[in-house]
Amino acid sequence: MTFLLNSCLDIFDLRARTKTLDQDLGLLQAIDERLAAYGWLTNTGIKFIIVVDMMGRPPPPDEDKRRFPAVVGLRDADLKPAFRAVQTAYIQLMLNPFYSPDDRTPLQIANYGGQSPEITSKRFINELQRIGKVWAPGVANI
Amino acid sequence: MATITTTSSPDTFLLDAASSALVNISCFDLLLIELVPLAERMARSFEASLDKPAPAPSSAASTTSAPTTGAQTTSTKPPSSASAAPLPPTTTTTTSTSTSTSTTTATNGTATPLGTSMGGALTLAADGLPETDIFRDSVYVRLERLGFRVGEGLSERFSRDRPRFTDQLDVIKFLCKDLWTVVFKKQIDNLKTNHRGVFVLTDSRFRPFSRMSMANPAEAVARAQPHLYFPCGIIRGVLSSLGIKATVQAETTELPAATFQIKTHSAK
Repeated sequence: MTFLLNSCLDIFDLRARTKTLDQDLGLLQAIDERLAAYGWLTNTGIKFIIVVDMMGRPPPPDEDKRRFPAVVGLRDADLKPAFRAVQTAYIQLMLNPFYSPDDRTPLQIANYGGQSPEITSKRFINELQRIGKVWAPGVANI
Repeated sequence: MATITTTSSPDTFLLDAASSALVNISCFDLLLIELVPLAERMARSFEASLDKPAPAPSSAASTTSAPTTGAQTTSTKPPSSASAAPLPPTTTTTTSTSTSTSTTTATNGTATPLGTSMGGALTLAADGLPETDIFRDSVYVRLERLGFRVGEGLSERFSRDRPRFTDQLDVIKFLCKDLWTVVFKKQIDNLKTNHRGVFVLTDSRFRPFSRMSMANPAEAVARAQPHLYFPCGIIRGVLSSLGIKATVQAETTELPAATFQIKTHSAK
């Protein structure tokens, strides 16, 4: 998974040069028939990657099937609300005075033995998991 | 009659949208201004805590030198090893000289700025105590770092729905127009650049300074200088999170005005 994410970073660089208008970078790469990586680059240089499993998931049994018609393809715009929600979550994290982004400088990472310290905020993780659960193609806002 | 109505109904005063916004802004202004005395108090206590450990290393060194003297006494106890006896004293002397130099440097660190300020114009900080280098630096570092963190958060929050920044000038404009409006309720009045990485922002009515005045204008300017550290940090934080490494200096020559000079590092 880390290899996949790292391979996306190069595409980020390429896209950021060509696509200067929006934060949404669209489909970065399709790894195989199942997985597809979508990217979002904020103005502050923060990169978000969402990897979508194209197999989909079984619909909840109590829901009407007509409400969620079978999706064939995925448009880039479908992921916009998800990325917006992720960005909102990240902004909330940044506005938390107890979160210190300075712990993530390259020097610190080197001190941690090459491993970048992950974001451990429980609220942020929960929010991301919620976004992952709620999102489906066509959902306008999360 | 009007005074009775205003004093008797504070609730309606607070509920009124316009005046509550005014209260908000005033509170925020007060907070911005109050940050500086807070940092100064913390710097004072930091300075005091620096003064206290200055004897502490010497005492610790004396305790470390005490075993060596004890070793010396134990070594002198067996009278046969007379050649071993001169060695420990040399070690004790080296340690004692090192401690003495450390203490002198420690005292120098606090005393020389005092002496220079005494020799000079005797600059006093806001609390009436003499302004030392340690004090000034620790106030600066503290406020600047706070501002840096705030600036990072602000830029994350307010650059969200903007199109991507194309160049440095774009970022600086964003800082002058949008962020300055957010923080100080007005835009930067004047922006100058040499197009080689140096930007000079002038705010002719800098909001924290709007109500500051003293009988002696020069003293007021000196007293107002620490209030520029936090905005400096904000600017640096915003720029760094938007991808520009820069040093920011601020100064004021006449009170309601403030000048910020931004030197970006990429354009050396």
